[in-house]
Amino acid sequence: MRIRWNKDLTKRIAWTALLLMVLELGRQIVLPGMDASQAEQALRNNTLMKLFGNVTGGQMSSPTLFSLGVGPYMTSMILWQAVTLFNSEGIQNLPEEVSGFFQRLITLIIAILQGFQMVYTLRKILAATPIAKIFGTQAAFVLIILMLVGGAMLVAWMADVNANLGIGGLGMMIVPSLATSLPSMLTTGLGIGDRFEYTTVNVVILVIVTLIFVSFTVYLNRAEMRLPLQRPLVENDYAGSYLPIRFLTAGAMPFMFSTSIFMIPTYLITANNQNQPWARFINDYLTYDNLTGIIIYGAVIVFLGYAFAFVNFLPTDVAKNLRNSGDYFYNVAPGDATEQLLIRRLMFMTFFGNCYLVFVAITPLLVGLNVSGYANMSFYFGNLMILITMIDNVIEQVRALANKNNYSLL
Amino acid sequence: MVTLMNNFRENFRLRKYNKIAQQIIDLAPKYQQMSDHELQGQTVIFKQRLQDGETLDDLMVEAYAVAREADNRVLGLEPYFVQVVGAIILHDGNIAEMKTGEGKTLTATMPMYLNGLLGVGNFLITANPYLAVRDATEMGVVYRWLGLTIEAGVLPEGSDDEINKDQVYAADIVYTTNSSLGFDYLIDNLASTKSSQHMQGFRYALIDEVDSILLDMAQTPLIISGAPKVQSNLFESTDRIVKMLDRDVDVKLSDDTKKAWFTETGIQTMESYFGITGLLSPKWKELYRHLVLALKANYLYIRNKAYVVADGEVLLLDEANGRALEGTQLESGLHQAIEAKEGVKVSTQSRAMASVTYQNLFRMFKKLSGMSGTAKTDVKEFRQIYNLNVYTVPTHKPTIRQDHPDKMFVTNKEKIYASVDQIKQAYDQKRPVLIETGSVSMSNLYSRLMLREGIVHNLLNARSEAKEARIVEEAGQPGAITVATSMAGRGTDIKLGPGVKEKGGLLVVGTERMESERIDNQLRGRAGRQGDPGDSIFYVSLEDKIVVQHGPKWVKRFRKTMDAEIQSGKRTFGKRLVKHRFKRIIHHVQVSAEAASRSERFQTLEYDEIFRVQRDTIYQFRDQMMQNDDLQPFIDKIFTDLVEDFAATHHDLTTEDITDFIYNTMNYNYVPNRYRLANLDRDDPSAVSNFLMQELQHCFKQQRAKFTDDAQFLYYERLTILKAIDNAWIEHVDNLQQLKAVVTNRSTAQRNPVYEYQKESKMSFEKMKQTFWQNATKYLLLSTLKYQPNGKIDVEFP
Repeated sequence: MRIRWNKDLTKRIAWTALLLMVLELGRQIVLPGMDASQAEQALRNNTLMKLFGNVTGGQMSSPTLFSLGVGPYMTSMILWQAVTLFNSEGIQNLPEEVSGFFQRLITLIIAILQGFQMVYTLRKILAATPIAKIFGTQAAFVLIILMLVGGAMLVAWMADVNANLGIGGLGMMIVPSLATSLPSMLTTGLGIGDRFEYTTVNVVILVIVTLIFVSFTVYLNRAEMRLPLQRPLVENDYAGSYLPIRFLTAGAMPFMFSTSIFMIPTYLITANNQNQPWARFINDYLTYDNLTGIIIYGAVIVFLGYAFAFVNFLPTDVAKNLRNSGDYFYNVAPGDATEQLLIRRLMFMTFFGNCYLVFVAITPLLVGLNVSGYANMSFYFGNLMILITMIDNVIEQVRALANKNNYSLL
Repeated sequence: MVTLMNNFRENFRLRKYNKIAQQIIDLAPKYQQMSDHELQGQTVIFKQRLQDGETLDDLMVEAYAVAREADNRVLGLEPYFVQVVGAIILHDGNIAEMKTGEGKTLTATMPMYLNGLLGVGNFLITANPYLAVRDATEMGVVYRWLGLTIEAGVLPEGSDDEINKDQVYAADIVYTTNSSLGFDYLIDNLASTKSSQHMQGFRYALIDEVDSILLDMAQTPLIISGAPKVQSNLFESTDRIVKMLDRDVDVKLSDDTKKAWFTETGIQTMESYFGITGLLSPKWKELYRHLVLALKANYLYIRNKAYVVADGEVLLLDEANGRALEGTQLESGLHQAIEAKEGVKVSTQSRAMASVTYQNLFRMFKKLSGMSGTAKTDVKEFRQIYNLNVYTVPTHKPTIRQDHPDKMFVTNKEKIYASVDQIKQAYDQKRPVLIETGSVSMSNLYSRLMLREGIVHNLLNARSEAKEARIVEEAGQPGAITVATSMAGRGTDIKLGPGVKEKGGLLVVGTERMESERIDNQLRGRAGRQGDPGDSIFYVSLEDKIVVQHGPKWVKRFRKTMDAEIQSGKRTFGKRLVKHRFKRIIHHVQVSAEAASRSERFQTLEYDEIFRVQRDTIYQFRDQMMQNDDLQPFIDKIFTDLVEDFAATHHDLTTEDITDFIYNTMNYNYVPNRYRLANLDRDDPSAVSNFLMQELQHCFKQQRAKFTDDAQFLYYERLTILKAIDNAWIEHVDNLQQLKAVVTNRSTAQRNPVYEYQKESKMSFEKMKQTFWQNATKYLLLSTLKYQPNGKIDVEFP
């Protein structure tokens, strides 16, 4: 498809560029009085936080104004979507202002929690800052959290601005940090000590595998099952009355949360309980360097795959909407029977989609069991996949915008 | 914060407007001293100054002063200070919020005169034809006296005269209605010659009741229908079956009563009625379609609420203003299903040929402004979509109308009894009352109640529209009781009769709250004009339509419990709900109803934007065809496009494919040249297209030779191309209309439906182009020409 430039497109790209610049600038502003290198040292041990930061546009490895990134906002939007699963009518009836208020309230709460966690990690360095000397450590604690939360809310607002005026919507805000973190993902990865070596052979392999992976994932990302739909209120037999179900029903979202969920239990272990059997199990198996751990990790991805498939598709709502507008599939009664059909099809697609996700996630880990240096590719490909789904969205949007005014009869 | 900034800006601007208004008032003595002749001469001077490079803004102060003096001399009415302020707001491309009775008609003379100085293309849009004709007649005198031309673009209701559209649109100022302007625009763009087009540009539009037109009617596009579709005879039989179904077992109605569907039992029941199996299979697709239509017609469209039946016709009602929508039909056969339900003659279904929404119609104007009594509630939307700011013009005399808090009840019945008591009281005092109901059936109910109580009254609803002016005239007289639907809310100015002021002025009794606060305010605004006393009060219940449709679930449960308590005598009948919690319900449901319709409007706008771009492309192309005196380059391009597309899209061509193509598009009597065909490399697209092109040019020359007159041939070319484009476009419009519904499902695959619509409509447009090339070539080369003795040629299209 030919892309013709137009003013709207230029304007949107300019807005996004501006916002990304501001975002980058904010990520350079170190929180007042903090010793960046010391802080980074302290934060290095908190792998979970860092990982979560990477996939949600934050930068938890150093203490900056935008360390939390758009993460809290994204998490809140996903939670909100999940809530609609359980109480769709009540939520759909809410005016935009009210639902917007709640979404931001959740964002705020998550930001405070994350900010607290981050500052708690930094509490030792905090005592040495000028702020702590002037206002006392406790006040400094609160002040720094406030700054982080303020930064997160600012990024949330910027994400909204980008959705309205720019290109790529909310997801665009995590693209830069995701892209820049890719190389370091390979070297440090999850900090499991396994490093990818940038030798010539390795780089050639990496480039080839990446190219194959990208083209294949783009293809799968666009693949969908089309259920032919009958619409009694639409008379024209216009080609294209169908209900699509994506091959990757969950997108790349499982990768955004899989590592965090996998690692959360390790935080339950303290000096007091480390000898309990469950703690030992966690310690021994919830890591990527043994087969049991890898299988559990795969299970986490499968679980998230199904969860996000349902959150994204909302089969009950879809069935209800079809019933309300009189639409149906041949030989399937509207209502419950249609819902059952949709769930079956969704599960079917999700099963194969999950196979792909699991394949991407655990193949490098399995290889890593025997050959060192390749395990980190699991997280590299995971992040790459998130990036691909985001960028594919942007491409679609650019196409739509570019062709908007592109009509001529001859 | 943003609101604060806006308030600040608004105050700042208003202060500036006030200052300018004072300048205009101060100029009055200068023009008062002029003779009539001198004053009239100002128009010529202004026009000259415009030609010399001055702008309308430069002239505003003087022109307004002239218009004001002219109003005074011709009509005996001199615009007040606040009216001058309003007029300045209007010229600046804003919305002036002015209350009823503040003289909006007179205010409009100033900006209309000023903008009229630039010549054609200035429109004042009124709410109905009656007002357009009345104001054009009354105010027209002023414009003519000042040397401008003015016409009414509509005829008074019931008139059989034809309107001279050329004359209308050649006038400097046109008073017309939104629908007549829109239809004329669409008809103009279906014209086949330049001389049958009437419009001459869109310079300035001043819309009266702007909120009604840009907000309430935003969801109702103007559609010109024609080209009937194949008629189906299933409407009556399916209607009979649906009427036989059990209301609770076979059919389910949603809580908000907006959706209905067949249950699985229902589908089985229908199968046994018809004696078939597999109602949902492809075989019975058409039957099931008609059943769904009949279901919607019987369960969702309620007579005297959604529509009225008059003279054997089903007329839809506009929900916001209660008026009948003449000439509007529901799409996809729904209208026919309702006709079957009501047992009137089922009309033929037609397809949409041209359509435009009011939003897009008015966005074509270089400058837009509006007046309304109630625009403030939707400031944000006006600013976002139309870039219109709303300024409230203070009333000449302060408003002393009292808006009483709602009286709230559990059931409809309690509410009705309580309101009737209040009406009776007022009737005994001989105080005029306007009772406003939410639907035609409610107004009929109140009318019957009034009769039972022995209260003489007038009934104003969609069925008595003709008597509207007379009923409104009487509504302010002592003891006058008027029962009306929300149609009493717009463009009616109820003047108080003698002695009414002393009794407290007009009492407005609303019997339920409407879909938005704005419409409520509109209704309240009938009382208390020009500083008169007046009262307004709404009676509401938990059974009101808006609460049922938009209320939260707990309200429904609460209503049921209360209802049971009333039945058992635990709660006294007629007891009001006074707790704060209940008072907020109405506000809450109204807010969510408003939010719902706002987001619908936004979505319509997004879809429509895509449609607009395509429509503009087509209309521009049509204009080119009508204006150009040499269509040869276009025809050559059409030929090239056609053959190249054919060669590029067809693979493994056989000789038959090629000869068929020639038979079907250029020459019925084609004699294949076997030698050349045999030597043609059919796998080479450029060879194929060259071959076809030669054939095309040959046929074209032959057709050209049949004409002796160049002008005649040009006309022939123009006619065939326009016909080709119109046929292809009409099909495409119909497609797009339906496509909108199709893409909404795509959001399930996390795809943005607007982008999907864009993608699909683009594809549909490409298909339309191919059809256009084909049709144009076919019409041009295959039409049969019949020569008339008088030199005329009749064309018969293939």
